[in-house]
Amino acid sequence: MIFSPLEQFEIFPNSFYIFQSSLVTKDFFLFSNLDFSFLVSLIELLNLKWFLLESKFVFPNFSYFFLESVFLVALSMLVSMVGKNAQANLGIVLTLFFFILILNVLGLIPFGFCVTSQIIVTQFLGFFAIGGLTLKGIQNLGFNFLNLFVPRNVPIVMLPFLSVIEIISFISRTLSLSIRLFANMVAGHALLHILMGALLSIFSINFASVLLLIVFFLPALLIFAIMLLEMGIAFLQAYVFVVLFLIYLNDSYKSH
Amino acid sequence: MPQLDFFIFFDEAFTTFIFFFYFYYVFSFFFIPLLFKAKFYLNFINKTLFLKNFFNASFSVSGNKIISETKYINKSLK
Repeated sequence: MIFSPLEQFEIFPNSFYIFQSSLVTKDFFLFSNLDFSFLVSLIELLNLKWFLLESKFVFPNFSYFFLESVFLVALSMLVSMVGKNAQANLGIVLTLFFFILILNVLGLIPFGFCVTSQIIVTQFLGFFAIGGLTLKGIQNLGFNFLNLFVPRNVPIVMLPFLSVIEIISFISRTLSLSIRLFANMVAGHALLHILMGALLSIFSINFASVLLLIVFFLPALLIFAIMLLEMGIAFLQAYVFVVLFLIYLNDSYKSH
Repeated sequence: MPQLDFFIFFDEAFTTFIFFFYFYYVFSFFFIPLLFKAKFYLNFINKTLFLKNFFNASFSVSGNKIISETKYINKSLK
């Protein structure tokens, strides 16, 4: 049996049934496997809350200090990259980081569904991140925000063309943020699926052979190593998204 | 292709919106105030004092030592 590596990203709409009649019609309101993954992420968030507040001693527990150190790192990054006046954006920075991280890691659980492998989800995040930064820039800098599209020390003849290029690059930030995350997740999951499928197909040739079991131990180790790599990528993509968000946030606070 | 269905697209975007803003609500109004107000309360900046207190607290049985220390502090204050 051959499985397509991309079928794991398919969304299955389900509908609830109570007393042999559907609660919601299938065409109007959907409860898909994607929504189920979102609900699981919510449980993760509540777990985080519970770990944070669960304290047996007078002083808080390990998870409290871990989370506090992560928050302080985010705050120091915000201050060093943008400035002290941008401290109010700590909430959105941390939300973006933990939201993407939790969804990425949940996708790696076997039989789980990777939410960030859906282009509409990452596109939503990218679009609203850049849209919010634009509004923030207009609020902070006013008309001077348009200086972003006018490069300095450039001949006047070249200026219109370069401005058009700058505007295109500004709009494409949305796409670059979203497609980077989406492509990394899809590529990693597809690779894992292909390797696992290959291993299982070879394994099914002779199930009883002990020799084959020993031989297949090495590919299984390789898949395990790639799984660890995927865990790293899940963390790294959340970090990259936040760092790029901070770099773009800098344009909303400082006019050049 | 079910992904091209408008309703599924709408559902995905709407679900992302709801969950993202719930995350934002939790982080902005719960985690950040809790962690950053507690920092001043615990004197977290003074690392040496923090470690000393932490080990005293964790090795003491049912917090007796803390109570005795508190009594001592109260006496000294008087």
